[in-house]
Amino acid sequence: MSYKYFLNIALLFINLNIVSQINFEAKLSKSTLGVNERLRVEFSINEDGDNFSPPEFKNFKVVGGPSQSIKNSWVNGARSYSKSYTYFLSPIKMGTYNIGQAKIEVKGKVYKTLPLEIKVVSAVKNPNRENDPNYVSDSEIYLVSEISKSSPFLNEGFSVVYKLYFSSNIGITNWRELSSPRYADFWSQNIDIDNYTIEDGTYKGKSFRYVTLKKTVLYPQKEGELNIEPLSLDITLQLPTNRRDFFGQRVTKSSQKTVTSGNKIIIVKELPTINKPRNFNGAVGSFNFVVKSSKSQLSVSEALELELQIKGNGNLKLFQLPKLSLPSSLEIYEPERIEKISTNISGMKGSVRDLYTIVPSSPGKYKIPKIEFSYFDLQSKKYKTISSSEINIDVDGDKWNNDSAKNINSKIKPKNISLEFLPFKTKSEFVEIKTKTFFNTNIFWGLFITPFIITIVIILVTNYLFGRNKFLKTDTSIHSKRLAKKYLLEAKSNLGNKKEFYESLDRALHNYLKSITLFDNSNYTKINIENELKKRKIDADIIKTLNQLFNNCEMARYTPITNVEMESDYTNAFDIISKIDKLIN
Amino acid sequence: MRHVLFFILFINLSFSQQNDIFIVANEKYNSSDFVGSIEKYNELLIKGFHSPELYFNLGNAYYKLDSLANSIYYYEKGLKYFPNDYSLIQNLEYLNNLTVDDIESVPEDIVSKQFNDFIKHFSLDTWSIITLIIAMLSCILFIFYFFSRSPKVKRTSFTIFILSFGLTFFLLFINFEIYNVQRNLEFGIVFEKAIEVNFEPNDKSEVLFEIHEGTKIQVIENFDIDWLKIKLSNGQTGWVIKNKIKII
Repeated sequence: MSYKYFLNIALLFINLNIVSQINFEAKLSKSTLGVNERLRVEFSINEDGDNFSPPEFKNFKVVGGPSQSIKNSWVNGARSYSKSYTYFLSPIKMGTYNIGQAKIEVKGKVYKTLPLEIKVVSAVKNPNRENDPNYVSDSEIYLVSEISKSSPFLNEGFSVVYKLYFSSNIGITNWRELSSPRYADFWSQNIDIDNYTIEDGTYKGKSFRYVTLKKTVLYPQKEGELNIEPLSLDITLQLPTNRRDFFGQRVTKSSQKTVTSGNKIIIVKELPTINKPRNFNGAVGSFNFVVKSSKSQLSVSEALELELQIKGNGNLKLFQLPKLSLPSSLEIYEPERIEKISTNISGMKGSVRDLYTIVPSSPGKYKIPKIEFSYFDLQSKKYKTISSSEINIDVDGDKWNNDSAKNINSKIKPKNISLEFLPFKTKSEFVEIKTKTFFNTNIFWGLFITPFIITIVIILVTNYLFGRNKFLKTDTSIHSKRLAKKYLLEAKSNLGNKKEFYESLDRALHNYLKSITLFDNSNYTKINIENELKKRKIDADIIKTLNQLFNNCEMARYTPITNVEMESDYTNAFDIISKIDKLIN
Repeated sequence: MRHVLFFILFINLSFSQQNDIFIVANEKYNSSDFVGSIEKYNELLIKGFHSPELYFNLGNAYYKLDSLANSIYYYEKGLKYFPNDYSLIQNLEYLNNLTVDDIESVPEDIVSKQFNDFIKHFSLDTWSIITLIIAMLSCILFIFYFFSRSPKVKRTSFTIFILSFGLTFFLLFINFEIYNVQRNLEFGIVFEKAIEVNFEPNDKSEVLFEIHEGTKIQVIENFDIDWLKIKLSNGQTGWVIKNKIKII
């Protein structure tokens, strides 16, 4: 017995030596799987091991396992052994993950599996769940997304309602969203559901119970084909089993199931471009537009409230209110935006108001111009424009002085302008409207040039007739003769006063001679005078007496001279002048 | 002589006829028949007569009819012919407060402002006549200078001649200045609620800014049949469609 036992052990060792290759590996049922599918992971070893430690299944949820199985067979004396640990995993999120290393100890040695990569993709329509022990027939439970409009207009609101249909023999205890859809090209708002009620309904011709899980209102922001991503749920179910309890009731068993609503594609229609109003700013729905003013009469520096209100159904949050353009002397402050919008399954509803505060800075009759608001009406599929009526505002009182900039301006302008509207005039003097100007006409230039031409002509003619020299000489000779006469008279009155008498006499003679000879003062010498007088055929006697007279004039300044001599000199001078006069003329 | 008398009489008669129409128009205005009064006022304009009061009353009538653009148009038109009429200036100033656009004009430098104000004192025709008189005066002074014998008279007449001769050319310069302004500067009033001012003279080009009813603009260029290049008083330029603007 002990021998046999020993042999056995020896044989075992031999065998071990032959099959000493220890293989510890991990196997996956799939390398890619949908988020709604299950994954089987099997770690198997061909030798008995201890202390198995599974990897940490990050991003996965262990739904089943670990289940252990041992296979031991002897074929023709060769032993094959395998021990496996099986896990069923359910992915939590989409992505690429690693199944880490599992460890096992065989005879004090630690063996590890290779890490494996697994790709989790979005939900698959028909999840392959042959391996799921808790397989629930697809015809028992559905997640359905109901879209109210499959081809809405741009900015037209529609709803997506997710309903979970389940047959009457299934109980649902809990659910969890695995992947909630991101509405990338939509403006979306979830409508909260306070309490879930189970209702009866039919789906695919069968009667079901259903729960509305989620309601979302969507406003497409892009044209074309848009994808609504599916919603995936992990549901904890109560499944009936074939067993019955003591009271004959079916025993239920809880189980997990992932359901998904399929991808939905909607086609968003473009808004028509024909007849598109210029001021259209994306409002789609049915609206009413009102402009209200709190006052129609006020005085300067009082404030006025102007309200622009848009009321109705449509994408109220998604467009701008029309802008207000006002006369420049109405001061506008930034508007206050008041939104009263409620969103329900049929879309946004409510009102948007812009409250402007306006302060007029000078009196007058102001007109708040028509404001137009255009929207696309979904019922008639046409653009509609609502224009507010004009609002007249009377502002009285004086110009508001607070506006310093304007004050400076008014200071520059003439003082008699006070800003007041003047009444009409009753009297007028009319003139003909002249389209032509006098300036730059031929007549103008003619009249302009004429005086200059006349002047030039006058000057040329006088020059031609008299000659500039001649004219000037006669002029000076007359002048000199006049002076000569003047001084002669002066000399006569000074008879007796020696000094004054001879000075006057000298001047008289000089000027007289100047008038004849027409010498400049520079040429005025005795010899020149003599020559000139000779030329004019004047007697030598006269010249002699003239010289005598000049000598006397010079001498008289230093020698005593009697009155008698003075008198004779005077008569001589007078004689000479009259004689020369006679001779020349 | 008889002809001249007859002519004067005729002119007087026709002028009194203008006054009759004016009075009728004013009566209509006074009884709030503004449309009727505008018709009558326009009748005067068509006949070829005008006065600052005519433009003033036209502007007022349109103001009563709440037509801001027309009202401004007639005030501006009046100021074009009678630049110194304070009533026109005042009511225009009043209306400019009611326009949407508040365009601040580029400030003129003091010298050119003073010069422009000075020029405004007389109309072009008056300036032309003044120029002719001064030209004639300078010629007379020159003749005076040329023929006078006393150096005192000669000296003073020469100085005055030089001054007045210089003045003649200065006045001629003023004449040219006004003449050019009148010929080249065209202004218009915006008649539409709002017009977009484009970068280029077509519908496709970028919209630079908007101008609104009653704004006065300067017309710089024409293009095609229906585009105008305009300039605002703050120096901004752009293209607009012609039929939305009425040239003063």
